[in-house]
Amino acid sequence: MRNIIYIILGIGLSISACTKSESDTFDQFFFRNDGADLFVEVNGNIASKTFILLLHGGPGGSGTAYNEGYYADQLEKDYAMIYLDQRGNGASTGSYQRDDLTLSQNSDDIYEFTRFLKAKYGQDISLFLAGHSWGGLTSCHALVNTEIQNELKGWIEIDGAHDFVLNDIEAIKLFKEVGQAEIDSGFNVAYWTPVLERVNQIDPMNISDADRGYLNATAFEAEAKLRLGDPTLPSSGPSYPAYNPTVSLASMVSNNFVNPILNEDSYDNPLTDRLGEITIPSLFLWGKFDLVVPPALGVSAVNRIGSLDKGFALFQRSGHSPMNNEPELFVEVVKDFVELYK
Amino acid sequence: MIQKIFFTSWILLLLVSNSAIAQGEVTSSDDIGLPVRVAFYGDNGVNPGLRVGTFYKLHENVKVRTYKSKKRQAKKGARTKVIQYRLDGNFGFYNQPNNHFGLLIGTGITRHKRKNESKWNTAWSLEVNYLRRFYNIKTFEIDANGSINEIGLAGNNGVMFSIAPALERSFGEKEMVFFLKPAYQVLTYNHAFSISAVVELGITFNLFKS
Repeated sequence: MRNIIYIILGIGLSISACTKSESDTFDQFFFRNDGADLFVEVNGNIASKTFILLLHGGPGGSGTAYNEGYYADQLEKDYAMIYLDQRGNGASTGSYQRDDLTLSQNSDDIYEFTRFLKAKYGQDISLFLAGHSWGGLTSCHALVNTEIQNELKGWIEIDGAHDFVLNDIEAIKLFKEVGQAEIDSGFNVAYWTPVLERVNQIDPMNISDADRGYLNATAFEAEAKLRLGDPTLPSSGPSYPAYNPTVSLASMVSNNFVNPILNEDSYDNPLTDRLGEITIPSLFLWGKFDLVVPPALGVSAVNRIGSLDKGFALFQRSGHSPMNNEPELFVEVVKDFVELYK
Repeated sequence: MIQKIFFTSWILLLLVSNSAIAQGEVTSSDDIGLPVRVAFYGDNGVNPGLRVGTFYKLHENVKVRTYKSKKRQAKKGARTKVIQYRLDGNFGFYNQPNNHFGLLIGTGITRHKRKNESKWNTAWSLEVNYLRRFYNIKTFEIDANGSINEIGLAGNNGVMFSIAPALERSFGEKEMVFFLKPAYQVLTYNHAFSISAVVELGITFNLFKS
């Protein structure tokens, strides 16, 4: 009996010891706001006092999924990168109702989190907000619906879907353009021919849910058929699954519940007409072949934004994620912007 | 509110279960001692934990079948199938690194089948557990004045329902039983629910068996 108790205690102690959460270049914690416990990873040069808060895509994504690869490693050398799992996404959890799962509540979370970052790391830190894909929408929503601009040095939108309605219309155009060019050049004709036939059947003024689903799913698939990026560039692999906080099956399933709710809210909140309210320095980064969120959205945004300090970079060999397709150039452009305005 | 009702119900069930076990020790004609299960508990297969439990036999149904051939009956004897319905009580924990430490306590009903000619047994369980997740990293919040508060023992609660088949193999005269028990769980999570998968690998033995 005594041996069994020792075995149980031994296993228990070894199990509970498997967690690392804080060092000079790494911090990991939950941030609680209005019932949600948001999972946060801070990684990189915290001493630089320059922080980039990166909002992930989705809905139903994960911030920690962005904490890998060449671009992350390079940016973390000079700055502290903050990977936040937004409400209901990834490893974020908590006790709240379905009605609390909205863009407005999410924006409040992000704003409160930036206040927290300044309280924790110092009021003198330089804080930039970045958003990729759906994170472009959530970051934009926070910028025009909260006081967050007062806390920030700049905004970086990376292939951001700040207007879902416009996004669908532009995606149809780009599909036709890229698909036809591929067929004319003799690349993957067997793949592109039926895709173009299907896309040509979509009425841009009356896009159904099935059409939206097709466009989004096919965009990722089609992007893989294009000859993007540079496969010779180094990239670090994913961390050991057991130490990845989002490996939990529960998180993955939960993301699927979150997606339709926040998707609907995202369609109800097109932000193109509110871009003029953004007055902080802004940088728009887009992949030329982004069929998921076409570069026309970035062009529209840079023309409409209220800020006079603005820039636009089109990555010629990139799709939806230029930080992965052209990481060296991506890092260079981001650093130039941050150094200018920090 | 639902969680409070569940927790109260669980406590009542545990009391009934314990009382039944105590009664069983006194009145049972087949003294089974106190059966104890100890198992590795793998949340999602990769997050390690430990689970201990016991059970009380609620009902037993013994089916004896004889061979039609008298010669074969004389040679092999009767085939006996024992089906038991058991009330389980469990306590366990697991650790998901960099996220939370889960503490679970629950009860369940098991249908256990054993054949006299085989050392392999099978079982099916339906379980309900109260799950408390303690974050194993710090949790902060900020108040209206801009002050940071660290929240002690932060976490959240959930209710978890599971269905689990089990395969057992008994060894030795002391009836030490090794078992493999994968479980499929539905649990409350954030604003809705989620699913999870668990695997248990452990032993059952009898304490205080005379």
